[in-house]
Amino acid sequence: MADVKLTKVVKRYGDVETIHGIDLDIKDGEFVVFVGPSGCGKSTLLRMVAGLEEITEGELHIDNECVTSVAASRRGVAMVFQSYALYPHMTVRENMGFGLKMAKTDKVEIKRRVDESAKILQLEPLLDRKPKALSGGQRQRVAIGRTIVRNPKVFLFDEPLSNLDAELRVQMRVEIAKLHSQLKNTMIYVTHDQVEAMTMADKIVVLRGGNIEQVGSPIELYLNPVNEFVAGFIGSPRMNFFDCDVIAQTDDSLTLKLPCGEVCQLAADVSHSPGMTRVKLGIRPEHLKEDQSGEIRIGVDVDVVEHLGGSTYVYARYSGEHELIIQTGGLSPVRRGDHCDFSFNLDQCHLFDCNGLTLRAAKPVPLHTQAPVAQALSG
Amino acid sequence: MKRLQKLGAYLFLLLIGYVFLFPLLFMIMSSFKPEQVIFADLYSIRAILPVGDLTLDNYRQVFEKSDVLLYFRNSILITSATVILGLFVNSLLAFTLSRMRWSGRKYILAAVVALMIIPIEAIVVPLLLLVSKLPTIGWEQGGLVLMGSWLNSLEVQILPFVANSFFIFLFYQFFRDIPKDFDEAAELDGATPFQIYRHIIVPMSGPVFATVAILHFLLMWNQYIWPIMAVQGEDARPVMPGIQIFFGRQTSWGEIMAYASFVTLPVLAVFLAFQKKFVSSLAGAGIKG
Repeated sequence: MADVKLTKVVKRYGDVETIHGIDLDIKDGEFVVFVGPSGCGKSTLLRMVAGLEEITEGELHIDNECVTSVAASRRGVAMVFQSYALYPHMTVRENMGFGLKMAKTDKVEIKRRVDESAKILQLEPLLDRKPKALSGGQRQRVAIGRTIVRNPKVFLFDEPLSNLDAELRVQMRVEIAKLHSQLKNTMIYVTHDQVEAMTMADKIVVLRGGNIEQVGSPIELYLNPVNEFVAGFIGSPRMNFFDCDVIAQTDDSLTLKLPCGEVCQLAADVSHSPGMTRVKLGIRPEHLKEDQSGEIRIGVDVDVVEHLGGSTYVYARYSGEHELIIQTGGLSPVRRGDHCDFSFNLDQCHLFDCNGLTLRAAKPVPLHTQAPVAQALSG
Repeated sequence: MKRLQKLGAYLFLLLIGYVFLFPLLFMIMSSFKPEQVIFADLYSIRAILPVGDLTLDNYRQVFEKSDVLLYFRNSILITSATVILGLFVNSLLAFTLSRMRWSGRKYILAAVVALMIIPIEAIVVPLLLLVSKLPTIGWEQGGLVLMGSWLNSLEVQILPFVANSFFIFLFYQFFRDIPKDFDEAAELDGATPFQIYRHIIVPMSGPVFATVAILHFLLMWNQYIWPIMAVQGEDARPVMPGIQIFFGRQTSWGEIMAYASFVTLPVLAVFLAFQKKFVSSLAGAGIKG
């Protein structure tokens, strides 16, 4: 078990810089998930921790020891690859014991540790099989078993579930979470799937373009995203955004005109951003209601309806041009081609400035809820 | 209609097979026939059938009139040493070219590819000059001494042919398609680059090793120009130049066929032994594109 500390870590390939000075503290026993879109640098960062990529600048400490220039095998880390990377010519037992064999561990000890790990992962009946004779889920378990055998300080997972089907992915997600609670090791997990990140992590690190956008617990990121990118990335389906005109501004509030014409006032600390003319309002799909109990009502044209059983996703257009997603109950009567009204409360809205940074809105007070009145005011 | 087409296709394949098999069958059958029977059967199907007055006399004459067993032993030694060393050297270079990062790697790879287009005939004279000046290391009066030149030895027929740019390229192509994740997993497991080569890459590359072994074996077994130039005496002569010597003596066609059949046997045996992997390697290469 170990802390992991990255200090001003930079990665350059020739003149191209892909990781721009990352600072990150991972506490002993934490399950940390690196999440972000393709090309954000999450896998590169993990590989730098593993020792498979050289750190161009900065320092990496594992268990309070600087391992920046230490070989991968001596860092006390073990990694599960996206492709599993099980050696096809070796049996499961040989695959799991390969690292110990390279370390010239006694054969009896190798057998003991392989058997112990196999027991944890219920791999005992499979030990004499070769990888080609295993299912996807079994291969995944062997890949994890191979890391457990080495008893590393830090476990690294590079998108380990991306090759599995949906059902198996959910099952393995639970198994990895159970494994973490059982072993209590530090684990770093890379994924582009924010659902995996939300469900497994103690702490999520959201990356974009080689920079950390935000670090926090899943619920912290969901409730208080620091910018529009994090707000859009965390949560499924993604948050809806609307451009709004700023009608009036004080140090602690904004008066906005919504695309539907309605005018409302939201409390926000905008003392550092004087003279704003446009802002973005964000509302999560699950906060749009099919009933009319919300403070703001909007009329939408429904394009597509996805019935998932427990919930329904409605893909619609608002004011003719703004696309939005609404998550409603499983038995929603909404049909494709319908025109219907949805509503939301302003206290569930996020507000972002023109640079995408969050303006912390709170206690919104709607001035008018009647569209004709609002239009009259703005007119 | 379909059955007719199928029949036509089979007949065509049979004809093609006959064209390829005819010389081989004729050689083997003739080696068991006296001279007059060979010529009597020449224009009939009997030429490729084991019929008539069959005898082992031709083989007996071959062993009596020539040192074919010595040549055969030399060829076995030269070929097996070259193939074994070649598999190791060529695959190891291909491994470093395809899976390791080091400065100058691209230039070496370009040189390997460029060398593939230079035929042995083009370099044989400078090579001969070089090996004629190279001394061998011997043991005399309790110490190492430099003696003679490489000419007229077995090593002159082995060492210049161990490294082969075509085989390096074949290994390179195969290794390049093996996912890098295996190396990285092994690296994390504490394996050194040589251990990765030895424990991971080599066991996963059976088909390409079989292919190169067969091709290298054929290349070495059929060596003709180089041994004629570099070997003058009997002691280190391999089988193929031995045919030339045998031809020079008063021999019958049946004896020549017996000699040729005898030296062809190892080639057939090696091919049959590795055939399955050889074919799968070629098929695999096709699928991988």
